[in-house]
Amino acid sequence: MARTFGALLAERRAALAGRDAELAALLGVLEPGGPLAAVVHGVAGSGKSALLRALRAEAAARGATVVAVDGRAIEPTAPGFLAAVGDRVASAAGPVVLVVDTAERLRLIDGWLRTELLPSLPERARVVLATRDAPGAAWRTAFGELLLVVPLGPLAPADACEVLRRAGLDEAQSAWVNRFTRGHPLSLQLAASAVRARPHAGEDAILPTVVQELAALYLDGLDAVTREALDATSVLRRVTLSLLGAVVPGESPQAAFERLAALPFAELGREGLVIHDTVREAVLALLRATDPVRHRAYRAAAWRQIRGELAGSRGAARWASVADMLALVEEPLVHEAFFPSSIQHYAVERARPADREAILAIAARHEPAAEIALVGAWWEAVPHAFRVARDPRGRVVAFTVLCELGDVPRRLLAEDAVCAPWRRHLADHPVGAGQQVLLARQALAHATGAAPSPCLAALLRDLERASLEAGPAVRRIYSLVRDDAQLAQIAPIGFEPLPGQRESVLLDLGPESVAGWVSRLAADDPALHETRLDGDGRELVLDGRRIALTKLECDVLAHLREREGRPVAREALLRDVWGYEWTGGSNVVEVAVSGLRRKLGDRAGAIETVRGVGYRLRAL
Amino acid sequence: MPLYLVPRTRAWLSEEELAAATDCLPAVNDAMRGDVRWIRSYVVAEEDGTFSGYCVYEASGPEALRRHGEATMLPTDAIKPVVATIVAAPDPEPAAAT
Repeated sequence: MARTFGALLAERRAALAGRDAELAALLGVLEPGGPLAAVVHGVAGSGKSALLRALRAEAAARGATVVAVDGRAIEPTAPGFLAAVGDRVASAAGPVVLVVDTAERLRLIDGWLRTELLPSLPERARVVLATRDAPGAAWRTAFGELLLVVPLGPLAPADACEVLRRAGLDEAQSAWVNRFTRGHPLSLQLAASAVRARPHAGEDAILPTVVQELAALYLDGLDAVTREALDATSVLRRVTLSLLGAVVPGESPQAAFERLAALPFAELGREGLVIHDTVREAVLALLRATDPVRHRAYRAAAWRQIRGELAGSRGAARWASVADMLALVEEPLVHEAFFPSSIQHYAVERARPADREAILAIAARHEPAAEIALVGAWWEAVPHAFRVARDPRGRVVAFTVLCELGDVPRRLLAEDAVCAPWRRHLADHPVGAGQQVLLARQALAHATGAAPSPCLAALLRDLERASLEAGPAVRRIYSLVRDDAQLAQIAPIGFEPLPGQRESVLLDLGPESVAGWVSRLAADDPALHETRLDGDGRELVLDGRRIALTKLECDVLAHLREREGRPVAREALLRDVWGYEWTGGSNVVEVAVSGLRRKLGDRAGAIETVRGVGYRLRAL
Repeated sequence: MPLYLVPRTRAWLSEEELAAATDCLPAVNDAMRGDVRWIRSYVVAEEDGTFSGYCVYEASGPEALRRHGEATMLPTDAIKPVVATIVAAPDPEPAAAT
């Protein structure tokens, strides 16, 4: 029977040069008595994904079910991971291998993966992770000899030459390319493409950073249209047709997509096209430095498109758009919170019953007796609100208390003086029905108390993760700061002191929760995300666009905005905007709303029809 | 503040613990400012794979150093006041952990 194109593609993609020993070691997870889990680690471009592809093909050929996920395409929360994997592991009949690529993007759920997910998998399941850093002590302690660690170094010279030969280079070309790429797989790939395109380019073109230079060498050889598409998409986490259409409006998104997909450092994933991080960062840095105006224009166009996609998305698609927006956020505090860039020394996880003594001991080191008693009272009432940071030995070195307001018994809220300003503020500024309020009651470290420290930083990143995990309903987070310096640290992400309070602070995420908050943070140009209704000028400024309105449209919108998030009765609109009571058959309200929606364009959905009542405005 | 030498046998069980301690050093110094200043530690590998340290501090007194040991969860074998320093040559570049 003739082979299909798909089979050929799979075979080519699985072809691997020079990783025989590593592949054989990984396949050991399928052997009786072999390791239960394996971690492949190596720097960017070292060939981890290629090795995993070969593993998947070989494991499947041996009759195992392979469940593959990519950390870049998964919301870094427990529900997000479970949604991506589904029941494919649990429902597999025979041996099953869960393969997780780009696991460094899942550092926020590292503790959960290790302590909750893996132990809950069926006995026949094995797990293989690929990540940039070597697994920490927590993993090695948990699995001991049952964890296989496979470091990916450079390719051996003979293997590197084989890669270059397959890429079409002759022996002389292979020799000089391999001399400066030193076996780094991505560099080899880029160099091979560059040499094919410009066979006479000399070694003297090489700059100190080999990959960046190779990327530049390659990029110089690109045609202007492809180069512009690559520049434009360097501001994006992933490339989709809709995002391409927004950042490169002058040409067909499909054509631009196909051109980008053909590049040797682009890979088609579940969420779209992914440009290799190393190349993307090099292109982005070059663009930012040499053409800041174009860089800004691409960011603005991307922001508007993602903003529009966020407004209409739910579930996994919503996370994908939130992550797209996060990629535009340049505030390091936020970026680091969601995608920690360095290895974490402290494992953060939900507190266990046995941690009570350690938590109270930390409180006793830094707090007066009354406060220690309160920590005890919170532990009794909401033990699930406690999360701890453990040092590599497993000792509790810090803890936080974070929970939803509704989970805290009223008696405790009344008893705890810290909560009084929060409650007063909430009474004066209630949240809408269904919106959640989180209380970040405490964060203390054994050595340094409430002062900034690496273990508390790990816990605070976890707090942001928990806010994200709480879903699209989180409206507000109340917390505490020790002093002005601490407030200054968290002010860039939107925390502000409660009026008249020194220690109580508030982060209001807005009616669109995390999505809206991240959008505001990503808009570095205030005009970009400003929404302003100018009643006198009869003009709405939305995402930087100026939209002319009629007087009636302007008044209707102003009325709805004053009641944002709440249903407004049609009769109330007639009474307050038109100035007369219900008259029966008039359709003037419908006409005005229809005109408004038309002018709002892709944001028309912000005005919702509430059946049997009237209309409700969601955040513009 | 006077100078002290504090031997800490098998203070760190792994390289990760050592790295975590190094990470925390500025925060700990900041929290104990005025009482203890961690100057440097000479770390040696033990045969069982653990690491011991010979740590040099400025401190207001032994009691502050005991509190520092509790805060950092490190064993304190002894607290010895330094009575003289003989410098034959400045410290070379810090040695790697392994």
